[in-house]
Amino acid sequence: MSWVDRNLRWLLPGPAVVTLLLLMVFPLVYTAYLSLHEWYASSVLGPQFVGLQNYVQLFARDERFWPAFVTTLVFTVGSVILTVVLGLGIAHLLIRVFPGRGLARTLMLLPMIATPVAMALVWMTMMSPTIGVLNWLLSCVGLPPSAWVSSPKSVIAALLLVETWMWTPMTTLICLAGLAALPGEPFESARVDGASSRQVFWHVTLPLLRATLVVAALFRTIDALKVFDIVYVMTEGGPGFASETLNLYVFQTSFKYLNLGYASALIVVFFALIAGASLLLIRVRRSAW
Amino acid sequence: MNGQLIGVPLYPEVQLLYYRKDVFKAKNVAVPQTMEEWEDAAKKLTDKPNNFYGFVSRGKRSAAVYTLAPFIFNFGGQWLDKDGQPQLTSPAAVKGLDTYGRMLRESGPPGVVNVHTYEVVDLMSQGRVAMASDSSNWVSSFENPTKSKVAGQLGYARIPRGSAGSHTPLISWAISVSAQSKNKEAAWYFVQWATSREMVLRQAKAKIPVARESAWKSPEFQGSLPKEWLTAFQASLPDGYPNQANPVVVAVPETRDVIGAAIVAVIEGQPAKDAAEKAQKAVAEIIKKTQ
Repeated sequence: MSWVDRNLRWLLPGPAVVTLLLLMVFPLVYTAYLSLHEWYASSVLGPQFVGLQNYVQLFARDERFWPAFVTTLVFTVGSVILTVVLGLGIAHLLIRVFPGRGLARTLMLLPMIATPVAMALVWMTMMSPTIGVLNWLLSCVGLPPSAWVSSPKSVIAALLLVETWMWTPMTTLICLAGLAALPGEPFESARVDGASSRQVFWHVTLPLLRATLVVAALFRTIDALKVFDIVYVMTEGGPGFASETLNLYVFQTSFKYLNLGYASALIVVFFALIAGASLLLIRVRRSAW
Repeated sequence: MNGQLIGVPLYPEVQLLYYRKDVFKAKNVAVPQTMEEWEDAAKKLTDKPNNFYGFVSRGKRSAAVYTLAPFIFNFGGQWLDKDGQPQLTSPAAVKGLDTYGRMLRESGPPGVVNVHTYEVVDLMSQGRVAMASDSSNWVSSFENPTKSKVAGQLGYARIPRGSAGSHTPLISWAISVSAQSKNKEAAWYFVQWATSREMVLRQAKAKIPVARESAWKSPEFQGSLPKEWLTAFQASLPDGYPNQANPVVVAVPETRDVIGAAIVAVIEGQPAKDAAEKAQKAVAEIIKKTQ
């Protein structure tokens, strides 16, 4: 047996392990290391070790962290519920056979395919309180104008509207796949037993789709937690800090304030949050099998 | 700086008051000379039912710090004292913050807290506002008939004076070669080319206020811009505060975000004193942390 044959079990996964170490483990460890330092991205003055000071500041004294945390949470929960419920509804419509179904399915996908930054700019123009088309549309149906993203009161709702518009196609797609893969027999027997369409939906479709819905919710949760493009383009976290999410706060801290040590501490906490949410959802999904 | 050349000047910039001559005439309002007249005029010219507003300037967090500056300076305030400590709670600074926030709240367009300089230009050139205060550089956009509905109808004036006069931040954009550059010689050739007589004259012809006296005095440049603009610009220069667009600190973006948050809060109706105190504390902490 040659050396290669003897060590095949190490050699074959080798490239994958090295890639993983370089791309995932190293940045993670380096970020954790940096989070214990103070460093303003200076090439003259290197990182200074400060122990847990960044974390103390973060949890005890930072006036932007907790509001950003709450904003992220509200945005994520709102976005997941809206996109999954709407996605399921639209998938239900599009699974039926009707003329033009292919065209409808294709058109439905467009918001997701378009570039988020460009779409955010278009939405921003439409939402302009003085020269935007949305307030004109509101006035056409007799509703008072809204400030959309220009008021701390309505900014989250306005951003959720854009987010929902952009990402419902993805949940629709997942639900369509889930619906198409369902076996026909349970539906037939339910019909034979005289179940109404509503009963079929609640007691047959939903339980069978549970695993699919959890996958959709998992994807959407991860995406919504790390939302960046539309918020950055439309509000930069404003007015004030009313729409600042954790991801945006991390971006400002690291790339605008160049406070890389503190940003690393934020990222570590943010990472723990996402990992926790993912684990929880995966648990739910396991129990769904 | 200290007798040493650290950069070659490109463009000087002050803030000016842009106003709609036709609207002022129609409503019989005089061009404001003082801060009080300014606020009055803004109120009088606002016509909310018709979606027309008296005054616009930046309301978006960090961007707004620049246009707030003259309001603080004109009442006699400064960003920092001699020891580099923030002066945001001085009576002048609080008054400036209060006036700025109130004017934008009462006479500004809806959603002004999301207005950056680009939106100021849009609102003015779309004919939605009677007055705007912002960088002097926008003249070329306002006077471009393909971009602006109000080209030819604009007046230009110095920022109205307060008890301490009329002072705007005076920015000298400049080009320098980094001490850490690997190609210093090539970079220096580029600097020479970019600031050469011909290049600067070409910019001046495109209505860009340049930093070369010869180009500035050239008939092409003088003829291409409204006389009023030239007068207002040149009158603003001697009273301008060099490089005071924001407090001169190490951590500028963070400091601007903090002061900007105070501006947004005041526009949204919070008392200026509370907002100023909060910003003062935060800026002092940033300075302590980074300097």
